[in-house]
Amino acid sequence: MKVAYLFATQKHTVSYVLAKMILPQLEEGRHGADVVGMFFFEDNNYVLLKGNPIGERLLKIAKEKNILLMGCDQCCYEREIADKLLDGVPIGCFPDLYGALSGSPPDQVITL
Amino acid sequence: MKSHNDSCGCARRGTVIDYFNRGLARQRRESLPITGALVSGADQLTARFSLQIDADRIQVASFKASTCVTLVAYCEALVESVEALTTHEAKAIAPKELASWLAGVPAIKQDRAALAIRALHSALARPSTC
Repeated sequence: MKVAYLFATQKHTVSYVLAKMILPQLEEGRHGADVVGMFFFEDNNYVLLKGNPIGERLLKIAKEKNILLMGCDQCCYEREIADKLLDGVPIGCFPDLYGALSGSPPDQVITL
Repeated sequence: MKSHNDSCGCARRGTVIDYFNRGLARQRRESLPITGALVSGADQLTARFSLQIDADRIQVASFKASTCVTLVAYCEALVESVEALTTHEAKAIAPKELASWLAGVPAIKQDRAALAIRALHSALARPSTC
């Protein structure tokens, strides 16, 4: 099953659910689903900043597994980080996300 | 809000998101008498400028564009800059110059500046009815 994650809430979504569940499982090859994309809203975009340790690990596994990473453009502009993201990680909005995923569309989109 | 003058002496007011928010508000207004063509760019984005020109000087400018943050911000920056310029001065603004006005836009999104400029040029090419 192919899934895409939308990181929309901000409590422990990145520091806990992504960093301590999804990411380690992906690194260990036992996540249980093929992740085709991750899209980040609001403060969750800070994980995509260059030098962020979680983000750097995420980028590595994303390259290995061909996972799209994308930051919400409006969220990134508001935080003035749009041009400070990890190498190759684009910003965009829904049309960009759907367009980028159209080649390998997910069966499920999971909002976290 | 940040403010500075660029090389042409035009005041720049704010970040990309500031321009985007002002641009969204402007888009709700009625179009002006001289309306350019609907110009298309990558990713199905479109923009259309409208102008009010008097004695070859732009009195008021406006636009309607796809709701892309970067495109709306560039269009708004352009509108705020061309008011009170002559049509000749407005035509001289290059996409690279417009792109340089807004800091923090990733290179991959800066093509929106060219779309904004093309839309402005279309309106400038229309005969003035004033």
